[in-house]
Amino acid sequence: MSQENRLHALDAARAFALLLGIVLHATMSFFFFVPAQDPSQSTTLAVTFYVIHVFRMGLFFLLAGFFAHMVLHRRGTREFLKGRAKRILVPMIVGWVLIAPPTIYIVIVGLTKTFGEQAAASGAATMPQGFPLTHLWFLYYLCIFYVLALGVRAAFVRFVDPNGVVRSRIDTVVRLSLASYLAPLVLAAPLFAVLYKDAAWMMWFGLPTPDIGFTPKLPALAGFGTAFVLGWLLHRQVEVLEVFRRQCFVNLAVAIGLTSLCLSLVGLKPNMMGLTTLDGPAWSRAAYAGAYTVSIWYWVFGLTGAALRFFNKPSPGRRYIADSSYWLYLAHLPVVFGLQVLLLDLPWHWSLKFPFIVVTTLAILLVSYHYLVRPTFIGGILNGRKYPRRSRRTGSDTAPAPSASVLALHDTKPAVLENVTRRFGKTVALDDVTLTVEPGEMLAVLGPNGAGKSTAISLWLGLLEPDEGSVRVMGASPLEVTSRLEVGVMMQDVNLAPDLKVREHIAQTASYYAHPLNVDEALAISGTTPLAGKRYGKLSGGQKRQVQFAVAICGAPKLLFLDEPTVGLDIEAREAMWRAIAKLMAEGCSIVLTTHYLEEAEALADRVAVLAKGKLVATGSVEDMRSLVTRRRISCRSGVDIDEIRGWPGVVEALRDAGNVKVTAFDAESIVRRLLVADPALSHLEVRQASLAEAFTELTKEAA
Amino acid sequence: MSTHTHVSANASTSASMNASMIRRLVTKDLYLYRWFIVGATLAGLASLFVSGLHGMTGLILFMTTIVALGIFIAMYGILVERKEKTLLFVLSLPVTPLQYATAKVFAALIAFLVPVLVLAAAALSYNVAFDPPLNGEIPFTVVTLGLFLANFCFLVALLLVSGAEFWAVAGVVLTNLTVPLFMNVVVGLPGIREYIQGPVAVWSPTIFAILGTEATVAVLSLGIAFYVQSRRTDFI
Repeated sequence: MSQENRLHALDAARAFALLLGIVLHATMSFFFFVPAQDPSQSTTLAVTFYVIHVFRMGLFFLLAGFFAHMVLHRRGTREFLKGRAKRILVPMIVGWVLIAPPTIYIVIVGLTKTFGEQAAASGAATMPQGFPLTHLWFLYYLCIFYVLALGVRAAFVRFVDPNGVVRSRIDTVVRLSLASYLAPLVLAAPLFAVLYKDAAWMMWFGLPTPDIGFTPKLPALAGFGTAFVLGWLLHRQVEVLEVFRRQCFVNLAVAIGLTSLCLSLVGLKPNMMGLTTLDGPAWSRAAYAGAYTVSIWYWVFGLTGAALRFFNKPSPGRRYIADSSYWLYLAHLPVVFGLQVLLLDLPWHWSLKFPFIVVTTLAILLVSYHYLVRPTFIGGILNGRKYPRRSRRTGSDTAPAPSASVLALHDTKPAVLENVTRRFGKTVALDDVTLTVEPGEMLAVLGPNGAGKSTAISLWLGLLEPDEGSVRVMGASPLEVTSRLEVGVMMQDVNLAPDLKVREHIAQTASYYAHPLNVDEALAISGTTPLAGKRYGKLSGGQKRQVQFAVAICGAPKLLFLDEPTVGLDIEAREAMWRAIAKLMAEGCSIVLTTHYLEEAEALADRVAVLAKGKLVATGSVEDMRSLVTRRRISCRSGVDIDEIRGWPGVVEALRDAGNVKVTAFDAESIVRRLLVADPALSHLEVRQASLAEAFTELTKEAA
Repeated sequence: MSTHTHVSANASTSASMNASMIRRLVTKDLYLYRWFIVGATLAGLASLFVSGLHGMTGLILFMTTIVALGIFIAMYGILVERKEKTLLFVLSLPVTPLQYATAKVFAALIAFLVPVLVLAAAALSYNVAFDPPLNGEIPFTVVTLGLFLANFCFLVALLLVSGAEFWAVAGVVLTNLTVPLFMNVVVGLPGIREYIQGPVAVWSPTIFAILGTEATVAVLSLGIAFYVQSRRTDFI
């Protein structure tokens, strides 16, 4: 899996953790008294709260550590600090000023409605005292972890491990322990020790939320700090994430098992009269603390693995939700609590109230995000960029124009394979191949059958994904449709619907593109005007290829893939197609040509790439290709001893064949001079320049 | 709080582009299916006419028409496209695999449902001609049509996912086997058998349970097909 895909998955997991927070808080009034106790109580929602609370913040802090290390390494300490101040510190302080007061007010109203004014006031007096960090406590702890991480890292690098040996060993330990399924046992140990010893631990509520007071709480430091550090270390060796992906089902199964065990010990709902004790034998407290703390890690690993397995593709919808999740989480609490208090007196069942609260909250916050956050400076702070407001569409309902990213990349290479490896089972079809197509050039990709030509084309077309390396078309992934709006394709082994007429095919295909040629123009360029009214299925093989060419160019492509375009064409049709191709090139179209007709490549291509057995064996102009072999072929009639010639520097091979001396050498001119000196009677001298075909044969033979 | 390592298209542009592209693909497929639609509608109407002369023969012809329509659309639109290697051409266009699958499913559903709904309306009108009308049969007819729809969705999903002739044949056999089983078992179920001969259409819980099951099969089949298609990375 590529680094980019991993980041999509982890971004989705982080958004999942944040959005679950909204669900978590929306359950509270249905089994607990904060912000108010709803008359319709629910064990289902209590269990929902319990399960979400087990893993949610652990998952979040693991990913926070991962991304913190990534940003630090990409941008350096100074930019890291600036970025964190902007995206964490500022929202935290602004949130405390703007979000905390209404939230606290709503809680007071809710408690008063539930218990009456006096009881609420006396209850408030017994609550822990300190600054109300509210749900923004996680930003405060992030700031603590950032500062600690930078300090420890600086000290570690400077004084403890200047050569990186210790870090390398730590990486090895992390890698091996994560691969063993047993890492959760070790990672749970600090939190287990803290919670087990804490007599005031309210067991049903798991890891206590440190939302009151600036003094850091030990359980939070132990639990979330461990997650943060592990995330930090994971980014040092991102390939380890593959273990999570592979083990996700096992980890989730173990997590569900352990959480079920915990619930069986502690009860499905909190027992408000005995939150710090468990019914049952003395060991049950240790068993519960152990199972709870270990389950956190199995959940975190399982969910991270599930994200890597199922959300590893770019998706505009998911991207939007991931971007919005931060705002949604920051702003949700007064909305959720407000709705809970508002619905308190309604005689609805919780199964109606709860989804109503979640859906209404999400709707309000998504609308506010879309119009007030995403395109404004707030979006700039929270998302790191402002997204422009959508402009009103003015054009007709045709295919949309390519994205700005694609247009901006016209200056870059139209097609790139970078260090691409692709396997089919044990067969390596492409082995670390790097190929680029420059703007306006024709690259001929040559190679014998099985060399990897079709695999290369298929990768560029997004029909295959590389095992390693990256593929770009018009500056973007070939899986992005916007990048393919400027690409035309004529594949070797395809067919078009036989029942459609040629004109219908071209019109249909042209409609997929933003700025297509008109149908008559495409017919004329491809020389298929006489075929326009015929059904595709009735055409000859050569005519079908011509129509496929017309279909490939009808989108007015900036990049054209031609896979064996002239197979089956008669000489006249072939030359017509060559002329059309030359015209397209003159208009700035880049072309990738694969062909077995080497004279075709020789006549048309600016550059040639020779593939053999999945490897790129040579690349350069046609002249470059020839020059790789032309220095080697000398033929003459001479009496010079063949063994003597073999000993000359620069000679690769020398043999006598029916009275002729045939020499293959690197430096033809000096060998000829030596031959003439050694044998003034030498005759029938011939120094032959190889054709591209000979060069090709030589190159591919060498690779074999 | 998000990483911006990937240049993604604007979401709203993507959505409109998506809809526009799917519409074009659906239009193309419907154009290719046009003779199936017309032919099945005419054949179904003819079978209704025959049922007036000979009830059972007409009924069998009517059902055969709908079953055959489903098989033709699924086989022609999906399997033949793969076999004749037109799929690769479609995927080389600026079309995502998911757009392709969505368009295939929509086009197939429209091509299937249009004749079926026309024929159902015709059968209902035909029923009015009876005195008294056989209204008790209406719920059973609806769940039978629901079976055909569920079978069709299953077949389309199977072909989208597998694209293989073996699975196509297996799917056709399996879905066809469900028809006689359904006819024999469902007619005898409580909530159906006591009302089927009656003059009033009774929409009993049994009817809704069967409709729910059929809808679940249809939605689940297509959902799985979409999911698999959206995650495919190799199309060769």
